[in-house]
Amino acid sequence: MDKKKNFRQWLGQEKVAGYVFSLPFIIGFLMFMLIPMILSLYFSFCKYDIQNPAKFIGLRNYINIFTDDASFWKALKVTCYYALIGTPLKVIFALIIALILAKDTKLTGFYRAAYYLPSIIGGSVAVAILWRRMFEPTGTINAILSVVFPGITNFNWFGEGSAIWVLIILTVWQFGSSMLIFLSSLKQINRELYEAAEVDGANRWRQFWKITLPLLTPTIFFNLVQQTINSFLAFTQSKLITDGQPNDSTLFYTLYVYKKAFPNMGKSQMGYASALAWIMLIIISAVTALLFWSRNKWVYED
Amino acid sequence: MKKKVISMVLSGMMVLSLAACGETAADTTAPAAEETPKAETQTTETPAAETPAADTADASAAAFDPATAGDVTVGFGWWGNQVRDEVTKAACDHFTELYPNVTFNLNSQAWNDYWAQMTSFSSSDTLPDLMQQDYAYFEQWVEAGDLLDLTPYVESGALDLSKIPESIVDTGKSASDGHIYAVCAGMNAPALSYNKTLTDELGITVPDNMTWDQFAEISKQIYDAKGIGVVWHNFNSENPIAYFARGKGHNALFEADGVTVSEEEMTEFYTRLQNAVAEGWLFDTDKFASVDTATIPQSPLVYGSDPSVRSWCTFNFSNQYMAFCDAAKADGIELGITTWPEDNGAQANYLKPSQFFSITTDTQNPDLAVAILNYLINDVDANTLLRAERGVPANSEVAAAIADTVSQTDYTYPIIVEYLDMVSKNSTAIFPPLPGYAGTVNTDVIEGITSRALSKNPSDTPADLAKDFVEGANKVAADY
Repeated sequence: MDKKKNFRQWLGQEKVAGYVFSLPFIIGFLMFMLIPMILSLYFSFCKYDIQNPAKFIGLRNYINIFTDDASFWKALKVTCYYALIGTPLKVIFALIIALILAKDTKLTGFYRAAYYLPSIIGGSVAVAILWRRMFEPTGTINAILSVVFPGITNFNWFGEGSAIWVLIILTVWQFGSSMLIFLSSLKQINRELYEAAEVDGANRWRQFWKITLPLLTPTIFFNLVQQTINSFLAFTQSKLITDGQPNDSTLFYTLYVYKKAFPNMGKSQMGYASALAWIMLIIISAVTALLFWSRNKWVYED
Repeated sequence: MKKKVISMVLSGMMVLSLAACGETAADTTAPAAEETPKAETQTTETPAAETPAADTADASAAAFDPATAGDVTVGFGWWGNQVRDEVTKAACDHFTELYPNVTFNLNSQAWNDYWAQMTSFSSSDTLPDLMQQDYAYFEQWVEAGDLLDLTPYVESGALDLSKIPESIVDTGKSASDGHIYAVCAGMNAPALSYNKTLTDELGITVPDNMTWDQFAEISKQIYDAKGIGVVWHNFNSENPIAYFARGKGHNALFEADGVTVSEEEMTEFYTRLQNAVAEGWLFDTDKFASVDTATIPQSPLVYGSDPSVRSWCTFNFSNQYMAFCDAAKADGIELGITTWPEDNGAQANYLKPSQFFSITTDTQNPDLAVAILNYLINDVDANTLLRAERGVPANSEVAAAIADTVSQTDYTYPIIVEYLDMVSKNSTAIFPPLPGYAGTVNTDVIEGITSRALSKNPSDTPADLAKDFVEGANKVAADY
């Protein structure tokens, strides 16, 4: 009895309770993040094929990646292209739709939900397969195009130049979560600012440029950072819709890592894949640092 | 008809054996239906005491009675197609009917996903008890210690391979120690399935053992008339190059220190591909990317509403003919079967174990797994249910016994048997299994070079590609 009380007392202490409540996260973080990361750092210096014990080879993997791997550069190029074009498009699109839906009318609730939906289901396997079907030579998109522009028949969306755009369109379509964040910060802008501006004779356009946009920059910044990282980590679309084809023109970096780690056939190159993953970590960190550095230049802070 | 089919099976199997063992084992009076259910798996010996999770097999493991295994679930993994999934499930269900204590955890994947999944299972020691294996890759799995040595079970009689020709049993032996790690699930041969409805309509006859030029001529004719092209092999496959090398008279494609083919030879190979793309009939990479080649029902041979995404033929193996015909029915297309085109067809053709069954070292019930393997290989009922979808059974008695029943439900079976018979008369011995590094050549070298060769606007000459192939493959071999 006494013991039980002691235990409860001990548990009731603020510092103990805090750790207990955060235990699920701590365990998850250790098991699925920290330990795998440490292991992968070690494997990145090894020749490791999963089935046989890892063999330490020093920097060989890293040297090979930079000196003798055309696919690495290709994958990097493709991923940067996707991130640099897809992310701004997505953020701009989210902002435009948020501005339209900011006004409260009867149907805005419905529209908000409807536009948000794609970003919930967008990363899913089902949507990826649907997307592939839609853009097939004889798919829905071409059927619609051939009606609108009778000249276009059987355009091959999965050709070398256009395949990446199929994936970019998909990511832009999933603007919903950014849109919601924009909507909530649009609501927080003080109405008095607009009233004052109106009194001073500023039109809507000027109000947008001088009030809305500057006050939204922290949100734009947040969305940009988040979506850039997401773009660098995109995997499902590339794996399921194009599988990196044709000619590696949609080979996302993560897909390349996956293909090295779990090849269709032949031995796994898990050590090499780990090295690739660490290079990606460094690249993402650098890009994020760059974005944060640029923060002072254009983000408005109160 | 019955006699003819059986004699075809037998003649085919005998040539396969190359040993010309004259045992005419055909007992034509034993149709499958008359077999009593347990007759095949339970031999005369008394059931041995239960030996759960035995590490090594001893003689007492012979004739293990699956009924004594307790309530267990047995994992079984394979790559394949819809038809294979159905027939394998039927065979496993039948086993569960015989031994209600044994249930199956079936795991089927497309070829491309299968190896990735199995590799990850292997790392966590959770491989299924029974695993389908490929001739090309099983050496690599033996090397990794993932496959159970079946030799003791064969010696004890628990696994009966006596009805399988020795040369076929040998294909499941590892070069490292000469022990048996895999058992042939069926025989097949490279085969070109083609749209016979289409060629008939155009008045084209497709001869067996076509040369490449004949093939190009026919393909061009079809493309000019109908706009229907040709879809190439999987980009990451060594098969087309190996077949080409066979035609050139090589005895292997991969040797310990690299590839056997020369740059000059490979230049010819890539010239063919680039010419074909230039003429329009061979799918370029863009077009290849727009079709789905991973699953048979969506193969451009049988699927697609527009000629631009259709192929008049596909490069595959004879056992797949059945699943292709199944898929073609929906479109009302009749399919023909012939050899892959190559200049020296009789030299290039070969018969191969279509795939193997192996038992993994992760199994908890090796004796039971062996009993199931024995059932899959030697049981007439099981093979009737399996419908020879994995190829003509290697057990010649079983092949003869199921010939009638399978032919009745499946009109493709006698066609496949006849095809194998034709190939066996125009073929040379199969290449040795691939060395461990070859899979990496496929993914890291062949895939990229094939993409470049089939590029719509090629920036490489065939000589460049040939050089990159030979040098790339040799480098992978050296780094291994």
